[in-house]
Amino acid sequence: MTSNTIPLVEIDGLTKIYGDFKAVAQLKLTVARGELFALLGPNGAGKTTTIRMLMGILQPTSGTARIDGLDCFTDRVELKRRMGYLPDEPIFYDYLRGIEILRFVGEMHGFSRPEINRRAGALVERLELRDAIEEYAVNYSKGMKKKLALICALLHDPALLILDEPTNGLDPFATRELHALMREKVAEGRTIFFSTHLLDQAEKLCDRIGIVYKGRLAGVGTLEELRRDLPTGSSLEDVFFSLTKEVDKRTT
Amino acid sequence: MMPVSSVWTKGLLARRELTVIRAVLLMAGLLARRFCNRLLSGLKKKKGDLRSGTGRKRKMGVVFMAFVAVSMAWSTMVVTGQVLNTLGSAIGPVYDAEGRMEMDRRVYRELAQVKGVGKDRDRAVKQALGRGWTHLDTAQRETWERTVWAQYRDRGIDGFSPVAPNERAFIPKLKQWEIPESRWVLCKALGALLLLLAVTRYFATLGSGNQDLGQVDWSAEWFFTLPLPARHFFTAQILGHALVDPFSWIVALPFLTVLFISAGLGWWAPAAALLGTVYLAVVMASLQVLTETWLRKKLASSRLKNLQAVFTVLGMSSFFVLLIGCRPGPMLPWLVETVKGSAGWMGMTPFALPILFLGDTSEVSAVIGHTMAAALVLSGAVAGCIWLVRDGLVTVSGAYAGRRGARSSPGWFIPAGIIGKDVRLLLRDRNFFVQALVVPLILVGFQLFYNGGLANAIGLNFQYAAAFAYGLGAYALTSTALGVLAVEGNALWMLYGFPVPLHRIMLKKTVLWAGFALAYTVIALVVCSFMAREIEPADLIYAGMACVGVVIHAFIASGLGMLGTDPLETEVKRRLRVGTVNLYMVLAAMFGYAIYAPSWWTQAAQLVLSCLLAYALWQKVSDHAPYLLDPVAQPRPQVSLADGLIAALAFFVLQGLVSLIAVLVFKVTPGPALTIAFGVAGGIVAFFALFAFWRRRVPHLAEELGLALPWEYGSRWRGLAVGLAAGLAAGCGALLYLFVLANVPMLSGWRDEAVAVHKLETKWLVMLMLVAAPLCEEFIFRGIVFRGMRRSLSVGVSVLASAGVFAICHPPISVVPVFLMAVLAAWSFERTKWLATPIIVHAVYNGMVLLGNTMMG
Repeated sequence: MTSNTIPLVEIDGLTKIYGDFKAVAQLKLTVARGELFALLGPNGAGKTTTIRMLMGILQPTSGTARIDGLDCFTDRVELKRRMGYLPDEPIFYDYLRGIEILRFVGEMHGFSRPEINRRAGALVERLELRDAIEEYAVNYSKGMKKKLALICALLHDPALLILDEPTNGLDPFATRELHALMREKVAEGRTIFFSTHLLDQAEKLCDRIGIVYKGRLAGVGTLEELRRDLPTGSSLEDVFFSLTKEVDKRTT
Repeated sequence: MMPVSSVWTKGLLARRELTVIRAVLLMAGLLARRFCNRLLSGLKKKKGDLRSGTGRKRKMGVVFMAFVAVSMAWSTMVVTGQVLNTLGSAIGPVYDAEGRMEMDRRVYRELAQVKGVGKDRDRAVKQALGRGWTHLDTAQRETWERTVWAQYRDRGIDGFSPVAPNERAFIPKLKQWEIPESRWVLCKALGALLLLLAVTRYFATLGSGNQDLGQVDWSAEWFFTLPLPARHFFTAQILGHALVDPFSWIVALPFLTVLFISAGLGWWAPAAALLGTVYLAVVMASLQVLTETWLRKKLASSRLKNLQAVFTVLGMSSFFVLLIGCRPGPMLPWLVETVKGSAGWMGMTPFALPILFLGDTSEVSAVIGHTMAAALVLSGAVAGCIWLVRDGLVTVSGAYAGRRGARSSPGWFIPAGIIGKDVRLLLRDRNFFVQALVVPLILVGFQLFYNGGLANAIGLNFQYAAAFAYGLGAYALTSTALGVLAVEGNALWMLYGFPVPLHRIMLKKTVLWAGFALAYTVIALVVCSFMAREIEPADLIYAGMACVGVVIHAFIASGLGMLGTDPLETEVKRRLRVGTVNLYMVLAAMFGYAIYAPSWWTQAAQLVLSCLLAYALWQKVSDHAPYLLDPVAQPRPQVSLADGLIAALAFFVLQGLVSLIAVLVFKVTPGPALTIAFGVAGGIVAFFALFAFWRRRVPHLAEELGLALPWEYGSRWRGLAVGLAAGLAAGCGALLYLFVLANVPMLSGWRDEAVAVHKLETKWLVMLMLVAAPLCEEFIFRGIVFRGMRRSLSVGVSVLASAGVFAICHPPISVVPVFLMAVLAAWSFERTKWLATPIIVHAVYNGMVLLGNTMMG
């Protein structure tokens, strides 16, 4: 069995319970290497909680989440070398310029100053932040903050990128740039796992889609696999509503 | 389909008109709700509170808040009484209708008994006078004594009339109220005091306590989107702030009440005080809102934060002036002198209006006067605000406006990583800089300046200097090391993306802040050494203690800070729980006292204990660090060093307590009392420790503590045999030690001490030393302390450290053999994993020592 067939991300029976509220219940899905995977679901479905469990910020109540064979919670420090994270609302330190934040991130990952300048320079050029990079990060607009956070996530060239609602709040130019960048990274062989509630974005971009609703997995697979039980020509929207109705039926 | 215009008007007509009064009530309600929520959020616990706000906690919170408010109001009333007393004495003596000076009854009695002439009489008078006016300071007392002397020489004892001592009264009835000139001076002095209070409150509310100032998004911007004309809005804001002003209700109201009761208003006093308080609240709120609006218009948000730093410093300084000045001291008399003289205007500011009305005005004119003045100030402030926002609410944009700023230097001199980030933030965030590095200097400088005795003591005795230098360093740590986690704020998510464990990052930060604090301590030590007369070699030890103590306490502070910070709390300033700061200060103070200790033994013990405490805290931190951002998950319960230290402390305290009770209450002789105390204290601690571990559901508790019997029969015998062997070895060591002590003449004094310790009744002594002591001490020191360390440290370090703690808790002469015994006990426990082994070691050792003593003694 070659290493290519071992999935990069394996989530099995993942559950997170807060008191008597189930944020994520018995989630099971896998993401193969080199895949562009979308976790699709409405607000409050448990997408951010799942991502935080993958990042090792939260400990699962039960079940496992593994990345590259390592457990997400116990081996989280080692995994950070291979993962990059873009949060939904990036908040940066006051009184630090964008370039200083990038240098800080690079130093914490263990790169030397010339190496950081080289990597950061390339990414800043690519994402067109060169004019703003000398300005204090708190003064950035929302799109620029996301771009800066994306550069922080890409600085150490990770094999897996985890993006939490990446285009939330971006204008059309920035969205197009981000989509192009995502496709480029996947073509280079990296894996991208992102969460979204935009059906058309998921439909356009991804290889495989996982639909979550009320903390449960409603369906997972490529668009063709998800469409199997519905009349031909159904859009992702029809699939989404039919699958979530089933989850509702199951839980009531 | 309805025509558009009628839909529009229908919507408008359906709403109620927002009148000024309603707007004021809404605004005040909102501010009050925010204030209460902020105060009560500190009582929230971690588990499961994420999605439920329990009603019980809220009720407790209200009770707690009410208690705090009432006690603060009470303290204000007490302080006001003292202030009135001091002011009364400062203004001058009171004469009654026949020109007799009023005098404290007790002093009068003493004075009346003075007989004789000449020097004897003078001495007796001086002695009598010395009993009175104890609430005044030296300079004031001398003035009083001179006045009294003059009167006594003129008219003898008939020149005085006795009155009840004023300083006993809660609310002093000052005669000065009744004499017009004194009354006027008193009013002006109190008015000046009110001015100082108002100034302090002004700076304090604009300083670091203010959440809205300096934020990029201002809540008033949101209010402006409501259908409210600007006039209504600003009036509502001012009156809302006035209604929800804790300062007015907790400080000003009691102050004025006491004042008015003392002035003889009787039953009108509370009403008059209420009127005065409302007036003061409106005036101060007007000033506050006017200033805030003006500042928001003029300055960008980063400049505002720097200004806030200045306000904090000013507010803190004036608060200290107030606090120290209100005590008996030179400040109040100085105040009286100034208002008598040219600076009389200080007592006549608008803030002093409530007091000035105590003059010869009737009630009606007082009410009218207050209302008119308040209305005047209010409308003036509102007009000012409206004028300020005439061209828009915000003209200074905080967001990025496309400026190309200057290129930042690569900063080659700033270190890399997390330390570099913190240094940059320190240099750029003026607020933080002032809070962290300047405020300790201000506080300590103020202490030195005001308390001349302190400066003297430092010059005389280097031990005091070392303690002072340590105190400066330890205080500097409260704003820096305690907040290592809290200062990350909402950017904490970034630290979770690095391939470095969180607690390792925080340790690096601690090193940075330890360095700063150490710098303060070293500079203070150098300055003090220049001030001192001569330096002895022993002083270097004290200096060393101070420096090492500061470094250790940096780690204690950051450990406490990590454990006491709730990163999930939404308001960043509230993240550090209040009790943490107080706990740190208590621990730091304990070490400070140890520097004063006369014996080097206490100092060494304190050093060892502080090191262990720092390690215990960080052990807990590394347990808890992965779960910081998780609202429900907790680390696996385990036996930790912290539990061991608490158990040891509890054991010693309980033991002392129980033996004290046994000797005093039950009249037991010391010998059996000590045995009983050991047994009882040990039993209680063991029971509670086991109960606590069981409650926490520590897995494999019996194996952890060594209580489980080994499975194979053979290994039980082995356990006992190892214990016996180790015990014999330790006992031989002790006997050798005693032999050496006996035969080396210099140390014979020590030996007598060692033997004297064991001079108790034999039967009880045997019980104590062979049964009670080994059981209790081994459970605590080997079972909990050693095990707690062992799970994170290597065998060697755990053995030595746990033995060190054990040795520290014994009298100095027996340290060496006890240390050896502890090392052997811990090592044998590690080999057999059965608690019976070290118990046997201890029992055998004690038995051999007892035997040795009786044979030699």
